Amino acid sequence: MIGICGNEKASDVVVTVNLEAQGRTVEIKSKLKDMFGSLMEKAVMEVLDELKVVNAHIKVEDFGALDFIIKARTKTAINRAKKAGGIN
Amino acid sequence: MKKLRRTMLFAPASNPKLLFNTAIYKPDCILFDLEDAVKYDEKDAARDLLVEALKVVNFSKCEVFVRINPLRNPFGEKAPFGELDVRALVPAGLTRMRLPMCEKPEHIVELDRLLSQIEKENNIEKGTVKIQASLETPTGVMNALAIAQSSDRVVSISFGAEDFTRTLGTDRTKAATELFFARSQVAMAASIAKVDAIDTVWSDVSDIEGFRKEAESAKNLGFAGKSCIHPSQIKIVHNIFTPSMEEVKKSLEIVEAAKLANIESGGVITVNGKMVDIPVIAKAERVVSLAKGAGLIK
Amino acid sequence: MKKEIFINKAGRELPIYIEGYGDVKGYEGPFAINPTGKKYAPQKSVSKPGISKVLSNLKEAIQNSNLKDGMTVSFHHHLRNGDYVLNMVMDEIANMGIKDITICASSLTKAHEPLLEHIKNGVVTGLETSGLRGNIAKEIAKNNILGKPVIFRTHGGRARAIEAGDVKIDVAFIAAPACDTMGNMNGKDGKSAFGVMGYPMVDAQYAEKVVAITDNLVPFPLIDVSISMSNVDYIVVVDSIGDPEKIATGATRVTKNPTDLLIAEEASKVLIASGLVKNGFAFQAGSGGASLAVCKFLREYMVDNEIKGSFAAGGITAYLVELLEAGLFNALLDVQTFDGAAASSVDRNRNHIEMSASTYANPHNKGCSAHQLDMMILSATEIDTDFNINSITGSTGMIMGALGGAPDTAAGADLTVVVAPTMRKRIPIILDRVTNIATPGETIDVLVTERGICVNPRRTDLIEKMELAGIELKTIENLKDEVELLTGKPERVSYEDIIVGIVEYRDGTVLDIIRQVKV
Repeated sequence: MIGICGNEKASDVVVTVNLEAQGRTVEIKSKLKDMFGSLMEKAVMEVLDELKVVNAHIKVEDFGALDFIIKARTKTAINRAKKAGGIN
Repeated sequence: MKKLRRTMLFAPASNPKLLFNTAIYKPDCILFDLEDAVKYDEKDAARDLLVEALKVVNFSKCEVFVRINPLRNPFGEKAPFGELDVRALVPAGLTRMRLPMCEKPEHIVELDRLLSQIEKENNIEKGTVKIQASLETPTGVMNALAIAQSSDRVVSISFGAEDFTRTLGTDRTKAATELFFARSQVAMAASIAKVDAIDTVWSDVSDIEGFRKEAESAKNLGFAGKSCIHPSQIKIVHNIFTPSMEEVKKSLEIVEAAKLANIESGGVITVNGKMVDIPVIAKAERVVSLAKGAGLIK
Repeated sequence: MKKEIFINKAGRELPIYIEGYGDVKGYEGPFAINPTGKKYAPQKSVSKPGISKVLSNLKEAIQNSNLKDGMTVSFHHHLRNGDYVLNMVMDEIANMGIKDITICASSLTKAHEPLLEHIKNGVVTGLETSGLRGNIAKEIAKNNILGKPVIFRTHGGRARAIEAGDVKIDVAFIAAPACDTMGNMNGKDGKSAFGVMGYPMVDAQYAEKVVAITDNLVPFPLIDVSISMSNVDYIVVVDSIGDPEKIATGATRVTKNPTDLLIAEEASKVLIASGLVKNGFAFQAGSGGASLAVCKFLREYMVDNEIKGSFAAGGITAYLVELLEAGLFNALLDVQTFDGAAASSVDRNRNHIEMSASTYANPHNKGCSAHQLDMMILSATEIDTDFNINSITGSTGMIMGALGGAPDTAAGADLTVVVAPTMRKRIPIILDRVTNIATPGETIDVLVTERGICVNPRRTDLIEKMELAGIELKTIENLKDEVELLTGKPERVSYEDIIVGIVEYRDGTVLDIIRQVKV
């Protein structure tokens, strides 16, 4: 059950969510990983908490997106993944 | 002071950069779009972006509107996205919505009811969320007054020329004679209903003179503001709505005299040998308001 | 090894001695240093009738100049990204087996990437420049390939250092678009013309040997002379000194980017509110996006109010030439012509005046144009809450910029305005502390961004003028916090102990040091 959201454009991010996972893992790919990597991971985790998701592998391909954009894309990707898997 | 709505800067909610960069151009209002500017399969993403943006972005003095998707399709059936938009945006703190394709008062009433329900569910004071009704067809324009008066939530009606001319079966011209009656109708309805009328978009960004002429004519017809699609259009509109210092001076005198005479309703006062009644005082108050908004006076 | 440290007036920690540089005199304020002693001078020379200076090739010029291991050579960067000369000369030096050379360049550009090989091979072991970018900068910042700190100097600081003998140039290689058989040269004639020759004017007077390299040898005498034959030893003729397309780029256009225009318009309001835009005012601006756009808004104001300025300086662009030709300024003072369209103006307009880097910005002579400025507009990679500016490194610690003339003009101008966006991508521009200081905050007066305007609290007079004009101000701390809400606070880079760069202030004191980045 995979959901993807976002664009490979400046200030945006592509978030890929795979709900067929064990526990929560976050993979960050970004030129700004050294500066903002931990904040990016925190943003993803907050969304996982908000949507009460226990098992997910989240891949974040970042192009300089602000945290609120990462959160929004993560949220949409999770919901798309759920829909793909027939979950509501 | 009455809220100025001279400019309404349009931005697709699907564009992340615009969500946090639109307010810097200081339009009076921003319109984030979830409807026509957003592709079908990106509507969920755009909605989520907006919700998250509302939590952290500082829009300073801009009044933020969102054009939600319609609640009903042209056949009167429930449309997929409108309700989802409203359910997500109200708890996120949005207080201004534009409902597209308003043709009858029933359209507004339906949204009004939905909003009351969602406000209740979220412990928000009833009536907090206001509506801007978008009139985009001949039917909508002809029903302008009824629509404007259909709910206390309606603070503004806007005129959209693209769909209007298409439905009418004609083309938009720069001289805009085909829009004249519709515009007047909308401006008059707004005046009677005591709401703001916002004029349509001018899409040729490079034709600055044409835009300026159209914005002038909108002001002359009684519109409170103009839709903008590019930051370069904002200053032009604000200048048009900025009164001359001469006008401001006269208006300040009238407003002052009215205050002193304690004039409530009906009646006439004299200012500088001229007879001044309620409509003139109201105009003077509007001029003062525009002058303050333009930073001419404090 | 002396390991003692101290803190300079800009609040930066410095060692009292740096290997490969010497004793460190810390920054004490923009005008704290009063130099003493005599200026440096090269050896006396002699010339006799009938001698020919034109040699057959570069190798001969290098040999005749007695270039040996460990010496210092100099170049200018007027050819911008189209320069062939530096690489040509260094390749020849390498071929001849000469090594351990220090390059004192007015700046280094993308065209000079091949230097990387020479550094790795030990041909080049010292760099002194205004700026550094690209792979060389990266390798130095990450891997210290030079083995010795790069000395970064401002345009004025370089002129000062040469005149004072802090750097002694053994051989100056001067690329000349037009040169006669005795070495008189200018930068405005010929197929590789670039405009004025402000930077090498200083080199020519103080270097031991001066070699002109030209692709346009003309009969003696050259009519318009920027550098005199009396300072030139040898001339070498080559096919091309540079790529014309990259030298004389098209006219730098005023940006159409709405954010840059917004910042520029707000900046022009600040200038106007300061009361300094009046008849006879003197102005300078950087050439980037918002900086150049300020000229556009100023022009409108000047025309509407019938104001004529005394001079505009720079960094001259075609836009400034337009202002000159429209009669809005009495003169242009030019140390470097930025675009091809401006280059032709040097010929056309008597009041488009060439000046040396020393006349432009050296603080230790009897007067420089930078000190005559009423206002200066510049940009920055970072700014901190003390208004210190960084233009030399990025937030990742990578070297990727230049000092240029900004520290010179910021010190000299009555009103110095920085125009910058609050963030580039996600990276916030306003920080608690800049990664490195290029221009000290006490010389910076106002920051104009798309989200607000901040005045340096030292300038209570300006704050009052802005408030009178109805310009809303924010404190720089508040603006920083506002932006951080969106971007988050970045994690700062960690460093090794090794010093890879020294940022010299214009007076030769040390403003900051750049350490090797921990990978």
